[in-house]
Amino acid sequence: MSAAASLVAAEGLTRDYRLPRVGVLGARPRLRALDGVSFAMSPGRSFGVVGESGSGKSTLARLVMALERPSGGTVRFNGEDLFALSPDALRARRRFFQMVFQDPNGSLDPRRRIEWIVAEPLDVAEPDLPQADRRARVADMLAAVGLPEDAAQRFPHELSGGQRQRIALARALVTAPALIVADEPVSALDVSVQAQVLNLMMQLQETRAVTYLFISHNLAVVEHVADEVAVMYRGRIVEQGPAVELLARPAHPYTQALVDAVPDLAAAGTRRRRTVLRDGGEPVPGGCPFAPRCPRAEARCRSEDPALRAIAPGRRAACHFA
Amino acid sequence: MTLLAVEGLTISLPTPGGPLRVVRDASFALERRQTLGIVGESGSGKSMTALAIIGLLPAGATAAGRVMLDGEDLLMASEERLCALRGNRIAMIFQEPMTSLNPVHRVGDQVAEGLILHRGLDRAAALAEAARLLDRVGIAQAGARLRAYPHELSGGQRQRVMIALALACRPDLLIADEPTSALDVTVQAQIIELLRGLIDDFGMALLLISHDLAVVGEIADRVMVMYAGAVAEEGPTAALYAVRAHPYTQGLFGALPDRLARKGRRLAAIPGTVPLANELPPGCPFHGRCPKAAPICRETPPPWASHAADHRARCYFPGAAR
Amino acid sequence: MSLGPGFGWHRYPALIAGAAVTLVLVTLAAVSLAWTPYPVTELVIARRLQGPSAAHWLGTDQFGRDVLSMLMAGSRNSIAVGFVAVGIGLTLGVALGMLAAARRGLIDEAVMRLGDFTFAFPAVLSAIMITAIAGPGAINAIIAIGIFNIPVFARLARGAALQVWSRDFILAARAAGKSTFRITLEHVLPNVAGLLVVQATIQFALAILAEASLAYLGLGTQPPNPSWGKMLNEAQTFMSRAPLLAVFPGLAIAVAVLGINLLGDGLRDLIDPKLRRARA
Repeated sequence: MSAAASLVAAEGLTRDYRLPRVGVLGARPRLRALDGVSFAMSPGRSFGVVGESGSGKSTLARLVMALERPSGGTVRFNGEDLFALSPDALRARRRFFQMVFQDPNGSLDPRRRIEWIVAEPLDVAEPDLPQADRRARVADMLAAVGLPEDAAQRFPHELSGGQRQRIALARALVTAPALIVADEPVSALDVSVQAQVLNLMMQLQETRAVTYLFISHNLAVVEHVADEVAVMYRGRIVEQGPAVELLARPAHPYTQALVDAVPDLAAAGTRRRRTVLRDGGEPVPGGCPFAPRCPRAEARCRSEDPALRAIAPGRRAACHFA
Repeated sequence: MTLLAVEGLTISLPTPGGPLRVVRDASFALERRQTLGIVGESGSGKSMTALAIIGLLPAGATAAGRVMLDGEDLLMASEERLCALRGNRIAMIFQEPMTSLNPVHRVGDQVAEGLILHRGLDRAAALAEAARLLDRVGIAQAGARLRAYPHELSGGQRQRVMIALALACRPDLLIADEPTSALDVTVQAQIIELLRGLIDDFGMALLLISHDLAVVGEIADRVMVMYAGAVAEEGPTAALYAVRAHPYTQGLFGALPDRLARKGRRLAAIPGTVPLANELPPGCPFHGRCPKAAPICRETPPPWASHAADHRARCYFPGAAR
Repeated sequence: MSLGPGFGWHRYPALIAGAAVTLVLVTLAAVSLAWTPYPVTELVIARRLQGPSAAHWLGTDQFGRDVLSMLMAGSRNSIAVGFVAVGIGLTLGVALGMLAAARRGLIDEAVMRLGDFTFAFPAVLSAIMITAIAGPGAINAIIAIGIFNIPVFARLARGAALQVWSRDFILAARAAGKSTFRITLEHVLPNVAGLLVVQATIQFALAILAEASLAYLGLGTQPPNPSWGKMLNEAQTFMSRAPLLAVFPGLAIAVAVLGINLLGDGLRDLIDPKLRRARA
């Protein structure tokens, strides 16, 4: 896929955080949350990012949303480098990429009515919109996410968790964005409600042609939603490829372990034995970051860091043995 | 003899609008060396059931029915008697291992505390036993880790410490409330393996509470599905997962994105939301969301229907899924 | 539920009681501008230290002044001290706290260290310093107390605002392109308002008491102007001969503080949508 045809193209994204000082006069150590991540997203499709806590997937979401500046690298949206834009120009672009968060309790201001919350992105995107038109847009969005019209005058705490996540979707869609970054959008929801929200997201994708950057720790959810999947480990993409293929035949030992760790419903009650990934120590600098936990690690893995390389058409993996 | 027998357990919480029955007429039994999984969404009453067994219901809550541990009714027991049982014969672990451990005490002292309190060991002997326990739950260099503070451990290690703490006095019954829900998938797999091994070694009974059908299926011998405060279905794990006699059980499985639910296919979401305890409809609590609901479901709560000798569902129209 | 038609005032007993007490106080203070039963500057030694009677409902003080008239006139000073001092602290303190929370970094450090510096001096001591420089008087006392209130509110506002800033709805507002200033006005302030209102009522009570201390030291309200704090302090001397003399200003302060606190609690409940529904 060429960079020109992609909606989002990230190139060498790196993000360091400075940790609190060690001791009173000690240095402030750096934590590399994201380490040279590159990928491209095709319009109208879903790009899934899988990883465990600390893998850098939420940092990636914030960088793509230009809510933080990277320590290195670029994010191009429709070919434009977001971090090269002036603050005003960036603000004007924001209507084209919106975000949905994990916790629907925390992502809606408890002091505001639903109408205000859903219309908030319009405050900046279309400040001159007459009040009546705003109302109509909110009503449209509520209908689109399957909520009754009278929800507009309610407060967030008067709605259930699933309804609140629908509100978050309505807010994200109100400016008709091209991209929605969804960071664990269904993880806080009950199973039955999770299915409702996933169905809604897929229906909205069909009717409104939005592109999703879908971030989750849940492999089954990502496999269900995403066309393309990137697996992250310690701030890097370790494997990437078409969702179905990648999860059916994982090439990287970490992806294999992730897939194997998912409990299998079909084997319920049989006490199936499986390989369990051990905890490892800190990786050796210059070696593969996964080596300390890897069941296949050899001497070479501790001395030579494998690059993310093409292993088959459309598939990449960062492993010497892939 | 049955270790734990719960009969007609009904729990009411006080609210300004009058008592709220959050668990209604729950009955089940648990043998030694057996694992019973309680599955349900939020508001199903699964956690309240656990708290009633260990005598830690919130202030003002009342429990009716019987909770018999080796023939002794725990609901009738004095607070003093419950204190002697808690941490000794009954132990509990919770979802969030960070908040369940005291951040200002070393983990060794926290594990040793129960040994000193309930088994009368002196400090040195208790610490030695604590080291053995930490080693048993898979903490590397357990002797050195005794002196660690909770924040120095990873989430998975903290949950291991919690388990060691619960096992310290070799309880007959271990209650685990969402023990892996806050953990990464690979760590979750480790903890599941650990719990399985411990049941075999220690010969205790495990009451596992989770919203996650897959996790429960990995460990439990028997499964009880709860909905809106009442038991919907109960049976051996393999049979229940295969048959799915209650329409709610069928709905829960259908809502799960799994390997068979391909991209683009809609998930079979259960419509609507769980009714609040103060808005429970008469008749079957699930009838508002049930595809099989008939007039009788709206009037009278359904009786138990047996699918097999040890497998029953509370439904007028039980049947195998698919 | 909305604030529209059918708004149930009966659900807010604290708000009603607090508002009623505050209204009575303000009314008394206003009336005293035009009329008091006796002139407060009228000294009649012959009728000093009398108990309550038909002529003097609350008795007279050591100079024979009418206590009821003194209380009415004194309420002006006490209420003015409370409102103005809290107003200064609230306005500047909240502005600084919001700025610190929104900008973090060096500005945050500077604001907080400045607060520590102010905190290092006891309120009365800093008031003495200010009045020593600017001269004694009610206005300077008010300013001194107000300055001491700034770091109190700055700290509280900053802490609460930092919590709000960490919530996801702030991230959503930033993703929508809203400026820091606008987010502070539209999201942060409304979410910390309840806390600030409650703290303001506490500081109001403390300000009345601080004014009393200053007046006692001769640095606050100057004679012959009365204030509740001054009356309370002067009455100490006559505790054994005329205990009621201390009881009435003490009671006035207690009722005022209670009324303002109730008003604050009521307002907090009123502006919190969650509590509003919980009571519905």
